[in-house]
Amino acid sequence: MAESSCVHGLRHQARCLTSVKASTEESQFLVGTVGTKDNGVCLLKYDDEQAEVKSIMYAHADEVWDIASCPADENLFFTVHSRVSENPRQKKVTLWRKPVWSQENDTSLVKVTRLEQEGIKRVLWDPVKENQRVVSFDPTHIRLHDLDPVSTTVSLDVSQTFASDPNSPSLREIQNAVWSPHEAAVVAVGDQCLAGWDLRSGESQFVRQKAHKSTIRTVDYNANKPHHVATGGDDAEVRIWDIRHLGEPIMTVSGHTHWVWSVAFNTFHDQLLLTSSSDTLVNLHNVVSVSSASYLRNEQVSDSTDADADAYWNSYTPTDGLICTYDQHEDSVYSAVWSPADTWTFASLSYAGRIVISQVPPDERFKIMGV
Amino acid sequence: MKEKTLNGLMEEDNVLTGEIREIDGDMKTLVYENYSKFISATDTIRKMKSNVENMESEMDRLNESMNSLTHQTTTINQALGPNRDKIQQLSRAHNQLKRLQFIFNLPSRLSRCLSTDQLAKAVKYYARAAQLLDHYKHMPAFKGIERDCQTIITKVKSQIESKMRKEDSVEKIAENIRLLILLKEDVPELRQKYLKLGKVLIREFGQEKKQAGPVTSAEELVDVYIVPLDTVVQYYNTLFVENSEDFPPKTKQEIKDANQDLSEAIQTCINSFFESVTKIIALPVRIPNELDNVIEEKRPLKQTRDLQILNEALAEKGTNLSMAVALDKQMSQVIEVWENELVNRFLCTVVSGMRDRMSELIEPPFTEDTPYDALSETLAQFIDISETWCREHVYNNCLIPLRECLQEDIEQSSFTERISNGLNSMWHSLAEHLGTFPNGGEVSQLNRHIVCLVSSRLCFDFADHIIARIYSEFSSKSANPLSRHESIDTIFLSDCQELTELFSQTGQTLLNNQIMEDGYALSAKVQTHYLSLQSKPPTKPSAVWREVFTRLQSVEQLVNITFPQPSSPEGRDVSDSEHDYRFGSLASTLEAPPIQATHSSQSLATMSSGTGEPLGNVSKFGNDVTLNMMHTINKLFEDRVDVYRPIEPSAEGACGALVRVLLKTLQEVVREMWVDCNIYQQLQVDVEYLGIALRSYAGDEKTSSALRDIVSGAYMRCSDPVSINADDLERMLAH
Repeated sequence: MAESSCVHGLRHQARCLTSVKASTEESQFLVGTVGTKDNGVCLLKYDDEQAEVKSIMYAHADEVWDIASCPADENLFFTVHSRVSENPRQKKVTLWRKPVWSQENDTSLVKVTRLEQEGIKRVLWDPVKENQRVVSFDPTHIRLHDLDPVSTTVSLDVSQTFASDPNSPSLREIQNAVWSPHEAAVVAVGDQCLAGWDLRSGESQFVRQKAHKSTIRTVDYNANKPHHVATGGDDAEVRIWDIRHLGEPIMTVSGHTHWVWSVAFNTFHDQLLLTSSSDTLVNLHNVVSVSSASYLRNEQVSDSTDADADAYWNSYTPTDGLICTYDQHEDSVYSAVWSPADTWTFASLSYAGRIVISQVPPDERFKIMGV
Repeated sequence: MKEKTLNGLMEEDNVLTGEIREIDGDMKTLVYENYSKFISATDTIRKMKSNVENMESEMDRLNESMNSLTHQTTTINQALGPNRDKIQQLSRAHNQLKRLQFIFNLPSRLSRCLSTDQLAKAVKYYARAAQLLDHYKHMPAFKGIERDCQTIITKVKSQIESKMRKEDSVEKIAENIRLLILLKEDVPELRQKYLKLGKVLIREFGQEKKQAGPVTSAEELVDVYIVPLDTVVQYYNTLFVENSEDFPPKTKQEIKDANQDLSEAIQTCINSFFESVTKIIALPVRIPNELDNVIEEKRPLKQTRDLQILNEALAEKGTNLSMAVALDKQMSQVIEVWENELVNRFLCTVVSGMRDRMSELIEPPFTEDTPYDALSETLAQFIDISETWCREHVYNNCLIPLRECLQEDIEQSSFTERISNGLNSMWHSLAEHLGTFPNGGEVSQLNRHIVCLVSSRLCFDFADHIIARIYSEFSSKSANPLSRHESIDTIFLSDCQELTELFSQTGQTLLNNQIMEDGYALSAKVQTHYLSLQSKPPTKPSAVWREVFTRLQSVEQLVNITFPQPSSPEGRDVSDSEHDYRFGSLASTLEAPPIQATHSSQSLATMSSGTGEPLGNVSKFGNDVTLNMMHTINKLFEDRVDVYRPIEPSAEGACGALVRVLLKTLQEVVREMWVDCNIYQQLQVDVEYLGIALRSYAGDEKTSSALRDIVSGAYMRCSDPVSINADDLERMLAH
């Protein structure tokens, strides 16, 4: 809902936004800026009582292309960065420690360590073994790194998978990846391809070519339902797949009118799917029919013999479809993420440096909670 | 009277006098007539007077005689009184004895009947005595008789049964069964026996017929199934369902059971009847396959006639069947199924016809060398002929023959309903067919494009006028042949609207998919190019755009062929396209430099003379910071533009869509790519080039705004942006 959204301007162009996963009491987000000068990493704290945003900017000389906040320590994060006016294809990766919030005046970051490889697009923390290892990927390789001490333990050359057809109407390299929350595996997208690898053996688990009509830019894994992933691409579509049966997507969600840059399942209520696009919109969809809520509900319905209870459930049943479109952005929205502290809160970032923190409409919340 | 003139009074007087005279005459005549009657009456009265006097004495005598008679009778009656009672008693005893004798004789009588094969008589006698025997069976004498009778009757029964088995007519069987019912046999069992025998009879009869040859005509079906079955049912009803004097009244439960037994028993017969019906009304296979024969098929079809015969026979000879098992309803269901199939058979020729046409279109396949004119002509002709064919085929080869086939034996409303359903499902399958490109076979990209665009055009045309026209032609001629009014029957209205929607959606999807296929491919090319760009001073516009415009041009041509615009609103466009298309073929335009090919030389001239465009002054899409700021402010008030949206079915629409996609791509890629001073200048060159090249495709405010956006985006990313020298820029663009 527009009235419950909180808008914050950075006065600086930015394209990466992440939630601070270790902060489960208070919604915190990190934003990295791009531009020729005064780049930085901005920490935002959202107070949902007051609907207020407090922010602090940490200086960061290079353009920031991606941030990965450590799930175990809210002060640790990686940035993927490149020097101004240098080729961003030679991005570097550094692990930083930021000062604790209370020391208001201290806005300098302390470099902890860095990865030796160049050209890395993103770094992903292991969601299970928290601060010990990360996955990184560049256009052609997926690598697994130990952090203490820093070493590369697995390196997979996946260029063949993402460049199978030299005439494909898409960018033939890895665009994005996500850890499986259920096992030591990673799902990557790029080209028109969706593929998964087991990180212990380094073996390919599945490959689905031509999963979208053009480049696939984003992927997310449903934390509550193993084997379910969502992808978004340049065909403006979002597709949800069961990676065991990749023949057809189990659901296709349309509604955007340009490239889809991010998709995110809600961690608790995975029927809520957040998507953002360079058409400047953030869409919140209900995908209850393919979510873990669908079998929860089925059990309840089959248990109840009472007709009244059935009617009750039916009248309050959330159904698939667009819940809400958030149109407070005026430029491409490259990222939209859920808050780890509050299930109903999420943030989105557009290129102009505008951050919008919004909430799931109350009606929908009540429906989901069944009250 | 008071007001009458003297003459008037005189006249009145004359009239009155005349009337009086007339009445007087009449009165006299009456008097004369009655006078004679009066005379004769007087005579008669006189005669009567004299006779009455004698009569009185005779009456006295008669009275005396009567009295003595009465007396004597009483005496006799008293004398005979006691005897009469005796006689009466005797006579009663005699009757009883006679009855007893009948009963005592019953065994012998029955056995005589049995030996002389008069079974019916035997049953009649027994039935008469049965109650008595039953009543007095406690008396030993009767018991013996009853036992004897029973033995004989058992024999009788078995004889009846064995006889019944040999009977060859339902009537005789029914008679035997009736006897058995009278003999108090178990009714449900008898029902089964009767039905079994009846079925055997029918089967034998049917086999006899079949030996003469397979059942092929409706008349034979009537003989083999309807008539015998109906007879069986008829006797069954008299025996087991209806109440009659012969039998004790039946309870509701009994009647219900009887009906159920019947329907269970004859179900197999009915099934095989319908099997045969289905066989004889089966449509010849060739209807859907050979279009020409559809028209030549004799009408009314043999099948229609057969169905009619069967229907009439059911109404006349199958009343019992219809009542008992609703055979008429079952029959009308069969007919409905058949009619629907007929409708579908006819109409599916439309879909298969269109399919054949579409596959003929690219046989032999077009190549990149096919001259533009030839391609244009072939496609235009194809579209025209196909649409005409489709319209005429639906009307002349489907709807008219169907009407001839069907209208005779069904009502107008149900005919219309069948046709409406048939048409609806035909359109749906046609839309589905046109909407999916047939897989299989290697088809080149060009041919796939052609097929999809042509399909899209056909869909749009169907939505636009063809569907409505077919419906209106059909409804105007079917509802009221005299009406010249072209309007659509209300029954078809909602269908027509729904289908129009469906086809325009299908057409739009086809067009969008087709154009976006190019959009994705070109967008990926542009991204790949810029993301891997190396830093070096610009010398000419990026080569990737040349490739893009070549493609754009051939898309424009193809769409222009498939969706020709009747007249262009701007004269410039016409001259442009004429200019373009004079190059003749796709192949030759490939060789032509894109700028010249896309534009009349006018734009280049304008550019060099510098009259219209402020190009000499650094650039149109310059990097001036204040200009950028103004631009950003303007942007705040712009409406958001959907990059992907339904594409208008025209060359302009298609190219506009592609340009929109490409500009947005460039804007996005600039934000991600490496931008140093060299690359910034390269982008300036490219944007200028695009500004010129795109003028004919999307030369509006939105395009220039997007181009300005791109340059300002690049400017923001570059730490040391130096704008390109205007002379260099001009030189590079002229290159």
